[in-house]
Amino acid sequence: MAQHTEPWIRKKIVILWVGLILLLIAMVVVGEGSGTIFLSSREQTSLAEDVTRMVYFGGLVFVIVRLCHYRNLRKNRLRMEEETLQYYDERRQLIHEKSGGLLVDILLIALMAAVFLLGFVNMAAFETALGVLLVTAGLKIGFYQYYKRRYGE
Amino acid sequence: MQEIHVDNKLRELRKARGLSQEEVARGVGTTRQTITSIEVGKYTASLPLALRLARYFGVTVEELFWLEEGVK
Repeated sequence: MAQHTEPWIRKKIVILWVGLILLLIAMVVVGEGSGTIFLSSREQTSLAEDVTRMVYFGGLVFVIVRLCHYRNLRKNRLRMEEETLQYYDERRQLIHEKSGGLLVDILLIALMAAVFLLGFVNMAAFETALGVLLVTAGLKIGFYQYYKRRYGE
Repeated sequence: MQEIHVDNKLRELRKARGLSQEEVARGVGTTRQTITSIEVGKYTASLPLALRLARYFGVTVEELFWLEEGVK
């Protein structure tokens, strides 16, 4: 009998696979272009070197961990039902929307990609993008915690 | 300024029927935390959830939720 998987889990798995492929493509592009169109690690500042590594490998670990989590979830019907209730919970959705919602989530991913790529191109642009990323992440976390308390938890 | 607050008797109904928050949450398709937040008045249920709660307890929405109007 075919295993039932909630549509939201299937959607997340597809997004994570796309993310994993993009990360692998980025590794090849940056590796091939190093020293030509992109700066080599010797030309980067130490901050840029550390941050690009953190963004890349952090992203890679995050994507793999989430993929394993959803794979395990598909094998455990009870846990899948629980997480589905959490996912569709209207209070959780309200808190997510009030703290920026999907728009800020996409903005954070785009800023992380910008920080990663600019870290190999231009240090001034990299530092600006990193500043914007940190402010956006700080605001998102702050608003999320505020609304989580306001609507009870 | 007029402040409008939605009050409810979810806790009274739930306790009268000997149900846990977890059971009510599962019965209406939400989480225990949301039921807790509604009971303490920190969160106002949406119309679909209010309707599901009313149907679950076999009462009307007005019997479960009502407006508390006060001046701030």
